[in-house]
Amino acid sequence: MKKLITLFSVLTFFISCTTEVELDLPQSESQIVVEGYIETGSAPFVSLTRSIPFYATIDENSLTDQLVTNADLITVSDRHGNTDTLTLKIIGNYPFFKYEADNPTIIGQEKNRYDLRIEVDGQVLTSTTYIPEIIALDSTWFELEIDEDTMQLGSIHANLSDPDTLGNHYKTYFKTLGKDNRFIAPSGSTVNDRFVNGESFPFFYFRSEDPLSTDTLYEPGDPRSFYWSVGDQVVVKYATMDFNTYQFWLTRDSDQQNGGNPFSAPITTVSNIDGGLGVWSGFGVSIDTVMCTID
Amino acid sequence: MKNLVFSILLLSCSFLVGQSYTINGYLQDIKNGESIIGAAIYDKDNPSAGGVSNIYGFYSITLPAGKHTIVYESIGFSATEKEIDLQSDISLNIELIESAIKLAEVKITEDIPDDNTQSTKMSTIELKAKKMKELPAFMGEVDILKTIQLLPGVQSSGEGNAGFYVRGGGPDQNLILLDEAVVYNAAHLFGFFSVFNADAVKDVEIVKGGMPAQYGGRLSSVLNISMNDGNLKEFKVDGGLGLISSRLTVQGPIKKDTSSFIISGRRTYIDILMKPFLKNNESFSGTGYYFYDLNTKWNYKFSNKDRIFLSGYFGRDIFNFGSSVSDFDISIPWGNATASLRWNHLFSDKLFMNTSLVFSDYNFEFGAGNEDFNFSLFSGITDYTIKSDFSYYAKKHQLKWGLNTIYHVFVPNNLSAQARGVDFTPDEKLTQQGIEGGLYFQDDLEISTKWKLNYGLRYSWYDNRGPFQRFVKNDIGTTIDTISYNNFEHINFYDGLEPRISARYGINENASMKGAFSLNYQYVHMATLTGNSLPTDVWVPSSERVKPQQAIQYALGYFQNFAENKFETSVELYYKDMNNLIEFAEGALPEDGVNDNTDNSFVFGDGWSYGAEFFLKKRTGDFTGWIGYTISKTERLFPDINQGKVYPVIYDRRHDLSVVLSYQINKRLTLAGTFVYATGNAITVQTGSYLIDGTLNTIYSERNSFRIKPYHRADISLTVKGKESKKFKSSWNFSIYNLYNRDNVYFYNFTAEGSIVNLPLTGKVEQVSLFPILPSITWNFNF
Repeated sequence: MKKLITLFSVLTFFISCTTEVELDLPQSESQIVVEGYIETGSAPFVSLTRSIPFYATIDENSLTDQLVTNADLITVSDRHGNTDTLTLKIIGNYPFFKYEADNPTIIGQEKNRYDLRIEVDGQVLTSTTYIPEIIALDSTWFELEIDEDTMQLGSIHANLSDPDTLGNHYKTYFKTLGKDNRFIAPSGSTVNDRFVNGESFPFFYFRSEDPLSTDTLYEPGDPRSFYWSVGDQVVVKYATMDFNTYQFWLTRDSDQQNGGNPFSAPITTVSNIDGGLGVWSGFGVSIDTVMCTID
Repeated sequence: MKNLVFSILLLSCSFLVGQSYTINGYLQDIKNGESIIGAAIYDKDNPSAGGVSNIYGFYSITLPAGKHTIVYESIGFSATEKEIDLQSDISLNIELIESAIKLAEVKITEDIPDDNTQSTKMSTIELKAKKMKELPAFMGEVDILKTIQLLPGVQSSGEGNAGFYVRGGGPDQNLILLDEAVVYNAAHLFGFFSVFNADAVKDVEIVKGGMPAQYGGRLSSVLNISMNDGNLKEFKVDGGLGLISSRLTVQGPIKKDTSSFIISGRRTYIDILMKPFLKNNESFSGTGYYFYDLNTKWNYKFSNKDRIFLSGYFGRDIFNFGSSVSDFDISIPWGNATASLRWNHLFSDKLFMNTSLVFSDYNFEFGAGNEDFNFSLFSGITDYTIKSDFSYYAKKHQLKWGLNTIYHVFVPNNLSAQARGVDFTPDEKLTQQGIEGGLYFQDDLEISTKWKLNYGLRYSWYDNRGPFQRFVKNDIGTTIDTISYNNFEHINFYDGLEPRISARYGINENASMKGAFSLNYQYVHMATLTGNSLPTDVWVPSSERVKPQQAIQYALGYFQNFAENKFETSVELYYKDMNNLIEFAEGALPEDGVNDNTDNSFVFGDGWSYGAEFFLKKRTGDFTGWIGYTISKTERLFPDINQGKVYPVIYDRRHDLSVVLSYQINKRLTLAGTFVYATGNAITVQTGSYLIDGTLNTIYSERNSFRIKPYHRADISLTVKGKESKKFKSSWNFSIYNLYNRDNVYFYNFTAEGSIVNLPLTGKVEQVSLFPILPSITWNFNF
């Protein structure tokens, strides 16, 4: 009944009905999807998957079919004549395997450009990314939002001084130690300095759960899934990136938020890969650690 | 070519020869003094010698000296004849009588106008508001735009869509005029209702092609809506009570036969009806939606030579969201306001002038926030127009010339946001201003009884002025420079010549062939992010980046009337070629226009549309109505969209059929029905997905490569007139929308069943349909 009233309210007085239909959708060819990263201070790594048709069913068996483990050659080059060849490594959790160099000579540096070349299944995929100057946060801190006997929860705040040139792009990741296996970017974490050019200002985020996590998930609606708890130790990764990388992450975030909304345009995630889908991300990262404590 | 120009000039001079006199005057409704638009006036013995009354009811015809029988005819009125012995110029105001009323003292004939085959006008249809009121209406709300969409060549894009589409042109390419004021957003509630209150409207004309030179500024059509002037004879109150809204109109003379007023209002009460349901739902306790309209007009007749009109429209949609469990509120008001002051002046029996001052405004606001955070967005366009139009009625010519200038002020997207005391408002408010102008000349020329020609030329321009800030981008979209323009500093200038010509060849008394060519420029544009037009869509001017849109249209038609003009038929073929069209770039987001130029997100391309339109109309008798069928194809080619491949537009319709029937069973009962069938919209759908950072990302099909199932629907209505007394009349309108409960597609919802951590995961599509069979009832009254 509650749902009915909600629907009634949202569509004001309209009467609508929803039925499941099977559409004869246009065929979509399987494409190679690249997810590659080069961050300041780290060696590059790449994972490869295949896209799947809309109606395909993914189960445990077919999931492994999506992983591309047969790349013929993957190289990363800088503009100083260095080239590393990346080879397949299997890892325990997502993305389950990755391509990386055995003895990397290339370590990400700010204000440097990096080229990626992938040869797989007779196709060649290429991309380039630029790591801009690192812009670190001035400070980070925890603020209490809910103070009850049973739980003390809050958000993480930071202050940024944006340089006085338009065109800085940022992405924020959080990793709650002991709760998250990897860095998680919350909703709305890809931003640029359109509104804040040259300003020094505070901002804040709420916690996001790892969409891949099965063991640390709270019950749906549990406030601990979208707040940090007092006692949490949180690593904040603040990354700068070039426009193409930003555009990929921004359109991808929009796709996540608007998927299926008929009043929004189909937002095609804009890839920076020639010959495939996905992204080759160069990040200029700074790291902070926040202890969630009450003063 | 030289010879042709010479012949035209020679013909132009021919009216100077011979002893002729002019009959002029105004045509009005005997009942209420409303001027009658588009009435035919001609010599009974020589029907090709005549003219048509203009939108102020003025006519002027020139005939040889001697005895004539002048016939005055208009749809919905009985034809009237006047015997005249013409020995000098005379002024003759005529009052026509509604068909239903019989008066003994006036000679009435059963002739019906044949303007359809006689005039050079093609691709033009006129509708009377009175007739529209008999048709079935959605939720009982008579809707002019919905009726227009039942005509061949005019398409809706489905339920819940504000725009209409004419011969493959976008919704921003229609010039919608309400008493000469541009209405930028003609829809309430995302297109479920139009902003035109049928009680305040007298006459509607749509020009789909062969646009005369007097009109400009849009590529595809002109929708010209004339408001009622106000009853010059007696006070009248009209009203209606419906399921979701009510209307009230008051009109009457201020000074009988000299000055009158009309004021008409409408408000929906969905919000009030919903209140009891929401009271118990804390999450939505402060939520509601309503819209209202107010139309008003006043006129004063100084003499037969001078008359002024002052008319205005104000309408708003207001959506509020509030709840008692949270302090978060949303308020979204949007709407139009227009005002026009018009002065009619008769310089001589043959020279008529109208000068207008017009104000038009559309704005959209979005405000949301709570104690910690608030956000507001404002966009809009304001126009100030001055225009003068002259008509000269010669024997074989009707010359028109005029000038108009519009001062536009655009506010593309002004956003401000505050969060916990920090202001995120961008540095610069980005307004833009410019002056659009048009200068034209046209001649409606009768070469012979068989040949008629309407030729004209329009010179139009756009002068883009500051204050303005241009964000200059490099190849990868980073702002590398900003160029600032001061107030009224010149930015750029566009101009162009727009030739227009249409010709009619009379095959016989009842049949004619017509052909038309037109070239149009459009200097203000609206791109839609979603392909569906929404109140959030922003109007932008031509700029250094945005060239004027251009369209060339060719049309050819065959027109035939049957049974003494009771039946009107036509077949029209058209081809339209459009350049410099505008779309948002793939991946563009609504916020891209903030602290940036909206047009930096645009890409540019070409389009074309061609088709055939068939129209059969029965105009008089107890049984009236029309059947319109269009077969057409509309495509676009943008280098930066769909990988540079040709794609259909969302509203590309191979087949579009409308049947509109009305049967007057007896004096008290009228039964009416409509049926529409249309090829489904072409849409972009999800065809696949891929994993990034642990979540699924969408792959879309080629642009608009999927057809949703055809749209069809039938509606019926029954109008029952109550017992009439001299003072009070009333009627009940019972309508059934979607008679056979067709589940037309509103949209498809692409979702996933399962998740990556809860396998198996598969795609699922849900079809969402609006409006099952929906009866409604409206009570109308007047006294």
